[in-house]
Amino acid sequence: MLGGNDVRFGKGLLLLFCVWISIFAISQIDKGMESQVPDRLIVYVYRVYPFEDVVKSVPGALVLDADQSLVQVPFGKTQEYLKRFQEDKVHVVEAEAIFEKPHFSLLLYAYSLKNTFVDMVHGQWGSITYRFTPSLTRTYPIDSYLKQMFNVTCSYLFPALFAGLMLGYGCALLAVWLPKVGKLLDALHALILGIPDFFLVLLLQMGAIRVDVAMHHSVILIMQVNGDTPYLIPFLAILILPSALIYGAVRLAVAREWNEGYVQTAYAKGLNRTHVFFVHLLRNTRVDLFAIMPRAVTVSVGSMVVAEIMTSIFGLGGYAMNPVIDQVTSLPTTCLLLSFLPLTAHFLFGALRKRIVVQTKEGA
Amino acid sequence: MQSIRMKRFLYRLSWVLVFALLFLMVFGNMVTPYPSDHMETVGLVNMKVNGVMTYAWPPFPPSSQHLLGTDHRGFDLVTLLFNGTSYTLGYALAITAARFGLAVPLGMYAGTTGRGRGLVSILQLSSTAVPPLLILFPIMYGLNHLLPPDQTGIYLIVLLILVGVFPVAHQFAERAAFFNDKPFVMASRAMGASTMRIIWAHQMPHLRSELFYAFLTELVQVLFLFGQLAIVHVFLGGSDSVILTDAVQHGPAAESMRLSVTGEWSAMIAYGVKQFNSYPWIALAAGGFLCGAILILLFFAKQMQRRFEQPHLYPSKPFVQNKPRLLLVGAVCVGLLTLLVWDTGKHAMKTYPDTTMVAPDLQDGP
Repeated sequence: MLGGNDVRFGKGLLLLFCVWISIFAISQIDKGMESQVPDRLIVYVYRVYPFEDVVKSVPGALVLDADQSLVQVPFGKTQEYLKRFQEDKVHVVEAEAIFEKPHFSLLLYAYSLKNTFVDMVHGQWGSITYRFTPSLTRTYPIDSYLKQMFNVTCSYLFPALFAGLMLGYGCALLAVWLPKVGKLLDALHALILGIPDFFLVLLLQMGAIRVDVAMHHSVILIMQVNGDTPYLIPFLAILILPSALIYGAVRLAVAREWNEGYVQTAYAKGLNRTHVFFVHLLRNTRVDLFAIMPRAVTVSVGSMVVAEIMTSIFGLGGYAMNPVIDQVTSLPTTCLLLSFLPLTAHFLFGALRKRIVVQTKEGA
Repeated sequence: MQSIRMKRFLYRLSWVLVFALLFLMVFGNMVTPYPSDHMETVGLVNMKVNGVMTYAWPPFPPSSQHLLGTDHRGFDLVTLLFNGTSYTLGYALAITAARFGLAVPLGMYAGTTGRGRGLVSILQLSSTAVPPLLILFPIMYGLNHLLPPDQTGIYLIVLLILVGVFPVAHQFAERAAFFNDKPFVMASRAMGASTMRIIWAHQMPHLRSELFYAFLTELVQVLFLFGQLAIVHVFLGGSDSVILTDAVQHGPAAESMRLSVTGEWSAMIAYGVKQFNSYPWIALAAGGFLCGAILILLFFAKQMQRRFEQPHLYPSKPFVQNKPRLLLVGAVCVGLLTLLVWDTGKHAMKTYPDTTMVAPDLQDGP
């Protein structure tokens, strides 16, 4: 017999899964944008060759109107068939798609979603096209790169997240313990929360350049060069904003709890400040920490993407904007992977809050 | 603990800074150091570098003539960024207003009636559980490959609005639900008040200050998102394609790039970040402007929050009786009117000579 907690856990998991799938669907809305007729091409053949024979030589293509050189192809596969006809340089003069006013097509969107899902089930996660020269491009499946990208991203994401949690929580406790230090940290907190993450990365890169110039050789790597991946800059970029968020939430929570009646009662009973702080206050501020942690994880993933792009790291967040990459079709895959972490954090900390919080207070 | 005088000073300072920002937004293109409506591309110039006369291509670093430097066309960055203030802040205000226009009625209705509250909560979770960048970037990446730049703008605006509607709707749904259980609302409902009346006459007066504060914080979030999207080369505003030639000392290397025509900040950030290694001042200038605007708005929001929490610390006379304030407002209005008339007259009388813009300290010839 399932208990109430089990049902709630199951509902939470189902909600998490539905949100994950909806993010996957929403991130591919562009696939429903139709700027070409999705099932027709115009194919011009040399006059010596019969139009019908040339079209029949490509499986799946049908003659629609020989006078207007109109060919019907399977729905949504115009690019694939365009390439096939263009490769037949013996018979085909030119093949082109039929452009129309861009509009959203639900049919094309559903078809594209289904194709992407089927491809993923068969282990095809998309592709990356490198541009070696202005006229030379090569396309590779992303499967072979995924593990390396995942390792590179996780090498600084998780340590930075953990360090951010420790730093934010530690600074909040220090601010409460030493009020003068607290004022300085409060001012720093307000400043950091006002700095956009890309500007933070810019400032870190400027600082790294200054250090390198002062030391007369490269100390801190600011961009990925060949196999050398920067570590300190993405680590700091991911660490700073979440720690500021955690600091703010815990600071407010401790300040709120310090004014509660039970603290006065504890003092009246003879307990000292240290005992009240570590035994009572920290326990009652856990709920605020669990409330802010999902947001901190979300912010850290956003900062990670920005840091990887700006340092040209070939990781899960920054590979699509790498200067050597011409085009990618694997963005839904990497966005699914990246969104998994903040969603899991929301679920886990939400579940922890439900288990640990013993009372709720009025007010929204 | 800050003294009361310091608190009042900070409050007034926040208003001055916000008015300065609004002034820049409305009149920024009139107070630029160089004319913003007629800038000619600068080519190879002969200039003194470290005491030696040499030829150089723009972009030029910060100097006394160009406080923040120039871009690849030789356009002054201060002029560009002042001109772009109206576009960036205008777009951000419009997007924020659109979000509130959709979210507040939806949230208040859902919170008051209870209908759709679960759906709003789920949609809020979907849009806040992941960074908005992860939702917007894949869509815009695909659209940018399919559509020309002038057609992707409207889709970006719609996406920017939609991605922020449900968190705001959820917030106000929670607040409406909180007030819904209050005795005065229950009494009003018992006397036959409609949902619209309860929302408008009973709940909204209590939420005025919260609406104002939420608008400011949402505006800041939109500006943050502009900055993040700029990194992935997604921005509003037009651009023109410029063929460049790199520094003469490295030999000419033809390169083309798209540069902002309006100086819109996120377009400048996108351009500057790409050139950061060689010309860091471009990204720092544009990023600095965005950062400055965000800090001013956050400072203002903080002061307004204090004002609402402790109104007794900020006593003031009613506006029409406050003679010093009336005098100040009058002087500012007269000043702005003078500026408008002067700028209009300047445009009417101006003729544009057919020469390229050259920085004043440059000398022709060795």
